[in-house]
Amino acid sequence: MVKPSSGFADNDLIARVLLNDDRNAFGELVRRHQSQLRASLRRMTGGNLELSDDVAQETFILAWKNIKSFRYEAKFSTWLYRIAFNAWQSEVRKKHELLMDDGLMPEPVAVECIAASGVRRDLARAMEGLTVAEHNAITQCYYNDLSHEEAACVLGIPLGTVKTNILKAKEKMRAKLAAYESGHGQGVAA
Amino acid sequence: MITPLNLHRDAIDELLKADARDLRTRHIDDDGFTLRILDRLPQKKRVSATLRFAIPFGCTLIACVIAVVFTSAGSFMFDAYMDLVTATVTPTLIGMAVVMVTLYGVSIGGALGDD
Repeated sequence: MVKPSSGFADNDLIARVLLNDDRNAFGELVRRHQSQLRASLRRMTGGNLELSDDVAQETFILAWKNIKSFRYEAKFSTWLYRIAFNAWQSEVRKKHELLMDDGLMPEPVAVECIAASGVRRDLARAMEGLTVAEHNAITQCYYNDLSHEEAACVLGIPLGTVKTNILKAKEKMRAKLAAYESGHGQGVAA
Repeated sequence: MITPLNLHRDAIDELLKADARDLRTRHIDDDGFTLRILDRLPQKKRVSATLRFAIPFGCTLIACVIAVVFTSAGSFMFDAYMDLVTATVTPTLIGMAVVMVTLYGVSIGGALGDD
């Protein structure tokens, strides 16, 4: 639960939205969660600020329209991540279809590497070899700070698959970083 | 940077956690983002109180008319009506009264309920 800066917990604000269509309460929810959600989407979109903000806006509007379906079983932020992930997947499918219509092959999701240096650059490059599923699992569990169960819920896949994807991803990253460690000193993928 | 010394078994785990922690501390300024969303929020469709009463009431009335005209329940209702007019308390009249009160109760309850 996000610590309430306005004196209300997330669930109180949600109740106000449900009972009175209270836009100010929803605005407070947006203010609280926009930073983390936009940061998460920036990672998913490979650092595309415009696209990630469009998807974030779409996410909050979908949340407003469907807030009646929020069941208080998960944290509000987890529920938002699920909507955001689905919105992003839908965006990817649209792009994929457009590219296929034009006879072009879609590019794989890039890993954010904006002005990255040091550990971040090494990690980003080590993540370049991951599949989309592995990348998504790492993003949800580490960068969105979700448990494996919550990540399974957000990604809509079984818990075992999340765990497998995390293990495989870390093995691949370890191998890449070990190659770097073994002595070329040029960066993982340099 | 990654060095040979710190790349032990859980190094990836620790590096990812540290990187994520670092990124989470970097707050993205709202910068009008919330206002843009509030501007784009669609109005929720509200059914007026009159309609919320009229729709179930009208449906009930139509259902009663259909029952009277097109089914054998018509004779049941006609018998009940005649009993009512002649002020004779019969099981038919009581049955009719129960059905009508239930139907109107459900309609009015549905109309006055929040959703």
